[in-house]
Amino acid sequence: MLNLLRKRWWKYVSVAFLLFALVAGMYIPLSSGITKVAPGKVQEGSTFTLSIKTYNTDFNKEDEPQVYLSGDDHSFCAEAVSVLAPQELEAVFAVPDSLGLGGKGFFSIIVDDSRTGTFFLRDELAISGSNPSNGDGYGCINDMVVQASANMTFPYREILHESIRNLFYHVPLWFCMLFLLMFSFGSSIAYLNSNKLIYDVFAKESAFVAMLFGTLGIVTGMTWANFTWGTPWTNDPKLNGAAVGMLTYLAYFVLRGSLNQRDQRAKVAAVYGIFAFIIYIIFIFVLPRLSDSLHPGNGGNPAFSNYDLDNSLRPIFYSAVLGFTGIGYWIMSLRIRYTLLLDKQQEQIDTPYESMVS
Amino acid sequence: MKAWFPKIILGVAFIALAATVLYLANTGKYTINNANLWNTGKIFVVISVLTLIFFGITAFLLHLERQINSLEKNINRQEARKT
Repeated sequence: MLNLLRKRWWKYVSVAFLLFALVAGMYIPLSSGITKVAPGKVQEGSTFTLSIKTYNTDFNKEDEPQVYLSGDDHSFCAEAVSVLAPQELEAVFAVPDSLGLGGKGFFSIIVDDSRTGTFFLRDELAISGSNPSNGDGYGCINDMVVQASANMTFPYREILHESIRNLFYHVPLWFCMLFLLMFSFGSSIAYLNSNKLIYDVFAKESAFVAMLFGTLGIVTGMTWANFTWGTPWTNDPKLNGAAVGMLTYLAYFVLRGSLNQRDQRAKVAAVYGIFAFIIYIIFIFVLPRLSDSLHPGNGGNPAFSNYDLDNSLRPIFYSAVLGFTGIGYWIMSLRIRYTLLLDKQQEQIDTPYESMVS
Repeated sequence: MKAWFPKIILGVAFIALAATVLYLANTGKYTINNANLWNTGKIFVVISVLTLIFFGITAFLLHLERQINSLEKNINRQEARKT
C-alpha cells in the first residue's frame, strides 16, 4: 500500500484532471436563458406585449426568434416578435378567451432561435380567466423544433445562474471526503483484524484529511446556499447531518488525544472510527431522504443526475471528482509517511519499520 | 503488460477528453455581447489566478514529497549501517 502511495504517476494524473476541471469549469459559458419577463399576469382574451430579458444571447434585427407560451395543456405562439437589444425581445400575444383555465394557469415562456438554440423560463406568466374551454389548445408549438446551442455550454437554471459551476468544486470535495472516510473505515477494520499499527496511522490520517475536505465542502456549500437559498445555513436535514457527522469525527480526534497508551488508543479509536463512519452515512445519506430537504436528490427533490447534470457537465464533474480524490490521497500519503517518520524517530513503535510497512 | 502502459492510456485519454471539451467550447458560430466576465475576457484573469494558486499548492506538495523521500532514504541508510 505504501509503495503505491509513494508512486508519482497517479499524483500527476490527479493534478492534470483537477487543472482541467478548474479551467474548463470556469471557461465554458452558460447557455442562453430568460432572466425576466413582464407583465407576470394577464387576462384571458387580452392582447398584450411581453417584454423578455435574456442572458447570454446576441439577437440582432435580422434574427427571427420565435416566442411561445406553453402550459395547462395549451400552447400558443407570439403574433409578432421584435428584437430591441441583443438581450431583449418583445413579443405580442393575443390570448384566446376560451382557454377554460377555471381560475389561473401558469405558462412557461419558450424562445427559439436558430443561433442561440431553444431556451425557456418555467411557469412565469399567470393567465387568469373563467370562460369555459373550447377544448383545444393552439397547436403552433407542435411545429417547433428544439434546437441545441451551437457552442458547448452549461445549462442555464434561473435559480443557480453562473453558480452552477460550483457543482464541479463543492460536490467533488464531498466525494473526496467520503472516499477518504471509507479508507479510514477500512483501515480501522484492518487494524482490528491484524493489530498492525500502520493501519491505525492510515485510519487517523485519512480521517484528518477527510475533515479538511469536509470543511472545504461546507464552506463552498454555504457560499452556494447563500446565493441560491438566500442564507448560508438553513435548518435542512442534509446540512445539519453533515455538521453533526463532522462533529462525530472531531470527537474521534479528541478521543485519540485522551489516550496515552499507543495500543489502547489504536484499538479504541478503531472501534469508534467504525461506528463514526456508519453514523456519518446515516446522517448524510439516510436521514435527509426520510424528510423534506432543499438539497437535490433528497426529500423528493430531483438529483442532479435527473435535473442539471447533463452531458456538458459530466466530463468536468467526473474529472473534478478524480482530481480532488487524487489530491486528497496525495495529502493523506504525505501525512502518513511523515507520521511514520516521526514515530520511527521517537521509537514509539516497537515493530520494525519495514515489517510494519510490508 | 508493461508497467508504463496504463499511464500512457490514462494520459492519452485525459488529453483527448480535455481537447474535445475545449474544442467544443470554441466551435460557436456567434459571439455573445453581454458584458460579463466571459465576454470581456476577464475570465482569463480569473482562470490564470486560480491556476497559479493551484500550481503553488501542487509545487508545495511536490516539495514536501521530496523532503519526505530524502528523510526516508536517510533513515533507511542509517538503519542499514546499524545492521
